Amino acid sequence: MKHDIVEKNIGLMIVLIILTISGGFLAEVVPLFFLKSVNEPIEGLEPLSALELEGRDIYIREGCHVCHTQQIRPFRAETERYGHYSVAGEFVYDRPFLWGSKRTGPDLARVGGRYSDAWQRQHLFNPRSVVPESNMPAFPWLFEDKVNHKGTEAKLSAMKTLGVPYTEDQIASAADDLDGKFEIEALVAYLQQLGTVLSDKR
Amino acid sequence: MSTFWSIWVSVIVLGTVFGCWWLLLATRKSQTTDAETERTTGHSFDGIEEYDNPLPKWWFYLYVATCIFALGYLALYPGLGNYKGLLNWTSTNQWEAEVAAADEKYGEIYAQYGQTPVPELATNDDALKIGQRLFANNCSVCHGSAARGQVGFPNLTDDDWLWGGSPDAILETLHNGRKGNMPAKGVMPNMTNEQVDQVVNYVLSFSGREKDAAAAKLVKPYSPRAALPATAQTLRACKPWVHRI
Repeated sequence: MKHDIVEKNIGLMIVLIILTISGGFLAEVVPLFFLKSVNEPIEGLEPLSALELEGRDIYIREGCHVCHTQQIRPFRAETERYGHYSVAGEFVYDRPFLWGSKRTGPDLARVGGRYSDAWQRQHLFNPRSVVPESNMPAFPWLFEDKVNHKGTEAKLSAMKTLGVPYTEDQIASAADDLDGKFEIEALVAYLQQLGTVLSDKR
Repeated sequence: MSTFWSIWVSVIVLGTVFGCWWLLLATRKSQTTDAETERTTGHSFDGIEEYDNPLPKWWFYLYVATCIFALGYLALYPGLGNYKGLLNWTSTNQWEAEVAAADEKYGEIYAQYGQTPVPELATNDDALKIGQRLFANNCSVCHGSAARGQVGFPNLTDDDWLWGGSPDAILETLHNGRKGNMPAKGVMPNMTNEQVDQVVNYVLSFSGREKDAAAAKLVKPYSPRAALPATAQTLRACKPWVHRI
């Protein structure tokens, strides 16, 4: 084959490029859509409550996922520190997932229940007050701002459309559940459930 | 993975490897010469022309080597659908092997430590080093890296123990945790029941739920703010909500 045939027929080149770059996607990604072990929730996994879901959005808004991962890799060094390695079934209701790729701070995949609510609040208000060597920013405004629940119902409905099993009751009462809640409450509620479904953890 | 997807993956993966191989050889064949020539591809853009030379040999063989490497890799590791690879490698059994190796290495040491009474262990430098690392990893976030505590988290370096400072009491704390609670009648064990009632009413008045306003007034409020450590005081002063901490 002469390479100038490809180089001079831009249509053919486009087709060949698409074929080449889709190979990885077709082999590595597409089969996962049909693989039960990555699509089915692990036993005991519940959708986030309205408060936790709003907490999750605050987590995203404040960019927590930029410095904290939520994925424990299957290495002993990680499982000793953080607990059982993460499994796909834990994240089936996560849209989008927050695995992250940068660990400026520690991994948070199993931070739920590791510290008390009081510790979490104090740490978020001023990280240096509990961990003097911390370089995490403080988030004092979370203690002043109330959760904006205008969109919560729509968020839950959207999640339901994507396959998260919310009940009609949960969706209908979402806004009421959040009325008057501070953002810090939502965020701490979200953090405290992280990774708590797998019981074999530290 | 079902047989269909297994075949699907295998066909694409092997097709890609052999496709690269074919492309490499096919374009090579069309070259009339192995040597560098002055021949160009024939087009000229703004006077810039392109030589039509074959790939240098080392480069060509490097490509061939990557194809061979890929086949070797696919034989050893799981890359073709349900095929497990000759090495039977999975990320899970790699982790299990790491843990087993560590257990073998440290299990004996820990078993020996487990037999040794705590006060004797406290004179063992190696045990202290291990303990220090465990403390840094698990305890220091609340109790501080120097174990001096924080607001709401006790100092562990003084001799004042909430739950007892004997080795057994500390072990009990470590194994089962403690739920902080208030000692009965606090620092005034001689309070009368009437005085307790007055305090109750005083506390209720914080949230506007006074039962007996007159009784509440009888309590001589000692300044809670002055008694708080500096950080908590600042917290409360700036953010009323932090009150709940």
